[in-house]
Amino acid sequence: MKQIKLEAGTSVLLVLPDERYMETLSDTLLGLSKQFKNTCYVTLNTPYVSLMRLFTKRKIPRKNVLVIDAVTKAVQAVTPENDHCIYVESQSSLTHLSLAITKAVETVKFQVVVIDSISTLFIYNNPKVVERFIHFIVQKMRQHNVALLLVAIGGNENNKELKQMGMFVDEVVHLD
Amino acid sequence: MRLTKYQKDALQEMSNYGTGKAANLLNRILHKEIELTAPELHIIVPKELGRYFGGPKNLVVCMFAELDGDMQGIIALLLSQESAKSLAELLLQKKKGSLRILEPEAQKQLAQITKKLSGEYLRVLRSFLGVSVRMTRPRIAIMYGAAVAETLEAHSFTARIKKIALLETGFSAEKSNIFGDYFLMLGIRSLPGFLKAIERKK
Repeated sequence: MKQIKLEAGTSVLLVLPDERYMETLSDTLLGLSKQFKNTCYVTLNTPYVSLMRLFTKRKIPRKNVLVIDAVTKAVQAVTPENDHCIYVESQSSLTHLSLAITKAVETVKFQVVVIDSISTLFIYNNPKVVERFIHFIVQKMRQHNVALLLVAIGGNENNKELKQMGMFVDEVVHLD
Repeated sequence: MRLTKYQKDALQEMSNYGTGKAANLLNRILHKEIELTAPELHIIVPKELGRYFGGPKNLVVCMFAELDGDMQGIIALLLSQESAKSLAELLLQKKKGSLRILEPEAQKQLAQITKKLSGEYLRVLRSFLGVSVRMTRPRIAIMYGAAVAETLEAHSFTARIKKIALLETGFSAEKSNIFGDYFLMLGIRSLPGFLKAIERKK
């Protein structure tokens, strides 16, 4: 499998195949867990519970991972208390997400931030708005010397938008 | 708890009647022919939810609402992204294929239609069985199909119960390219009251 070279203050856009998305992503995360100790994981399409099951199943260390979960609150009004997870109100609100991510990296010294996946953002938001959000996050992570992994689902749907995103990051990696 | 054939049939028939009413309402709103599959009833433990929700590995649009009162449970409406956009286009009276994103107004319309359809379904139950049921405001989420079951399994409602009565109905408006599934999840403890009401109608 192709390795991702992710270093402090750099950003990579990782495009994964739709049909093997979860498998490929968990392989990547396992690789990252060996390289980085503290991870901030922003999940936009898999609730915390589901994500943790995947981590356990694929033996990805969970101890030093903080999850920003934008899904669970859409499913249940009252979310369980959890020191390893911050529940944000909506998948579509980029303002809420920006605030949560910024607060996380300013409070804890995370080495890497993973956003899974920006394809979800394109379902709810205008591409120009997503571009502005990504640009802001890339700059913010550079400023804090944090590595950034943006995950996207491959396919024809958002090819044009993903090409545009590629201009903001240091490297674009397509995994088959 | 074991259900007799009569009780199972009665629950399915009740669901059929409820979804039929909801489909008629959708038909009147959209001016499109809505087709339904026969409702299927499954009595399962929460761990088995994956069998019914775990199929698609792609992203699906889900609308959820919680039920309280004489019946405790969850209503879930699942659509593919394309179907959700097609449905939103019809609701917003937009040209077919013109909606590229699920903008806030589209999300609002999808949540509202879920509320209306579920309201119609529950109205049938209330009037026919005399049960009192309240429903929370529907919420919309996009997630991996495989994650839906795990999320429902971990839901605070499911955590409190041992067994679930799951009623599943497929619906479609084929000409408009809309295909979806409507689920009613009830706690098994809700069933005796429900079944008593059915018995009274016998």
